[in-house]
Amino acid sequence: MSTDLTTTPATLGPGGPGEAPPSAAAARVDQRKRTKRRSTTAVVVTQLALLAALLGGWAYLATDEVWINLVGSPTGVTTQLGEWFADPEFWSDIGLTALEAVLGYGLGVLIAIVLVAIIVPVNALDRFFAPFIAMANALPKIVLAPLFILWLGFSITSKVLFVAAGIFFLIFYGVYSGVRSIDHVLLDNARVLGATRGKIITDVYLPSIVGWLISSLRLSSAWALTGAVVSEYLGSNAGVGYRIALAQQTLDPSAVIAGIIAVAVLAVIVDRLLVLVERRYTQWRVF
Amino acid sequence: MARVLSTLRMPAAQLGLVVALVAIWAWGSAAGWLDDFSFGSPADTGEQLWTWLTDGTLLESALSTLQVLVIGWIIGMLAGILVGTILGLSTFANRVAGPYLAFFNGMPRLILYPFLAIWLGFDLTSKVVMVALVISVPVILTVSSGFREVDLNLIDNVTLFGARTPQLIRDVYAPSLAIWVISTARVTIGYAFQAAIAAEFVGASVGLGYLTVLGQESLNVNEIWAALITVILIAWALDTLVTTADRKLLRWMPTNGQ
Repeated sequence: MSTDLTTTPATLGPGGPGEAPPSAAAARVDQRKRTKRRSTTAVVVTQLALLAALLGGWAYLATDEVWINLVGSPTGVTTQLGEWFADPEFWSDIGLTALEAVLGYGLGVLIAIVLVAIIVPVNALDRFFAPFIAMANALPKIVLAPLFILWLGFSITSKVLFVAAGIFFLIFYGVYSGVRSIDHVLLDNARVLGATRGKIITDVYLPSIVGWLISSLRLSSAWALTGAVVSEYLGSNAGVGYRIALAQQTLDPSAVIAGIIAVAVLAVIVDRLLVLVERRYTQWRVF
Repeated sequence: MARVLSTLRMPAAQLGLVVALVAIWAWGSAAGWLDDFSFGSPADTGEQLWTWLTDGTLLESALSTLQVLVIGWIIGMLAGILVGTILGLSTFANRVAGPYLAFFNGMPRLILYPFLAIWLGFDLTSKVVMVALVISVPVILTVSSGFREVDLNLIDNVTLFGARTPQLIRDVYAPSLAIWVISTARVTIGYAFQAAIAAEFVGASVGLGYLTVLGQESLNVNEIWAALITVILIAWALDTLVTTADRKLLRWMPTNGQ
């Protein structure tokens, strides 16, 4: 930082001729702050310009009679969203989708934790299930949706259980592979110091499971909503996914986009909230 | 000898579990305490698989899904690497793209397909675009943050020796890029598979996703089982292939952890 002192007084900013000139270092800091502010302004302006260009391009396309039936129009989407926002039924659909996602998520997480806590500390079980776990991890979970709809019909149960199944696989694998990378030196040390099996589970595995769980929780949260919406799309008569399916069948691209935006906004809000939780609880993680 | 026996014991036990499950399934469906509508039977599922296998449905579906997956993956990878490189080299571009990327990363991209289907129709294009869209966002994020994590000492040294930007890209960034591409391939291929299947749920008359939905619509659980078994086997083979390639290609890298 010694260079700060070598700046020539000529670059002094705000000090008028009558005032005592501020120190060169302060001027430099000031200068830097201003440059930063200017570049932030440039970033925001560019972002807005980009957004305007995208929306403008879209609106321009929508003036064409063929294109409006393919990509909808910005006004169509906002009108649709405005209509939905005024409609209490829309909010109950959003609530239903969110409920399915939350219930499925909770159930999936619960089962995953229990199974990890049983399987991982027992070496034989771990080796026994390893190939099945690898297989389940490779499976694209979305493909299970039709099975749950066939089993449980258009009910909310089929969505909750489908979401739970997907979340279970995701969380289980996240925590499982994390806990398996536990430092062996740590385990050996604990054993040498006389830790019993129970002690090792509560003092070594459990903290590690919690740590990995928190980092898997956010990553899989988007999947809970995806699962609920896809499942509603395939077979239901309520929920945002159903609204999207209906809009698609009536070839109304504006309503399809409005539905997608509704889900996306919900997902992004949840994601931001979970980032806060993650930041709060991963500070202490050591292993 | 005891060693051979004990190494054989685990696969035998694993195989035993599979056989036992199938046996219980067969017994339950034959004896009637497993509902035929919900669970089907191993014999019917096997028969369904055999029919699909012999009339070529299975091969056609698998190839169709893999085609969407591979083309979409390559396009998504290329687009992701291109955009990620720009964002990695330009702080300004990265800051501009920040909120857009955060939005697209946080939203469930699998539900974009109904819109793409209306726009681009139900053919190959819309599915390929879907797969490319789904995987390009994580690739952009990985590549752009990867550019920031390249060892600064290395860059300084190379610059000191007189390398210019093109050489830096070729000799410093490109090798790191190759490593990220390979090490994230497992995850991106997994995403691509999900996207391809989700697309086939909605608009397809062929493909593995379509086969699964077909079973749901005709209320035939055996068709769903047969489709699921196929998907699991293909997904597993693909995953094993990618992991093996990953291990072979990155063998020279120091492993952390175990």
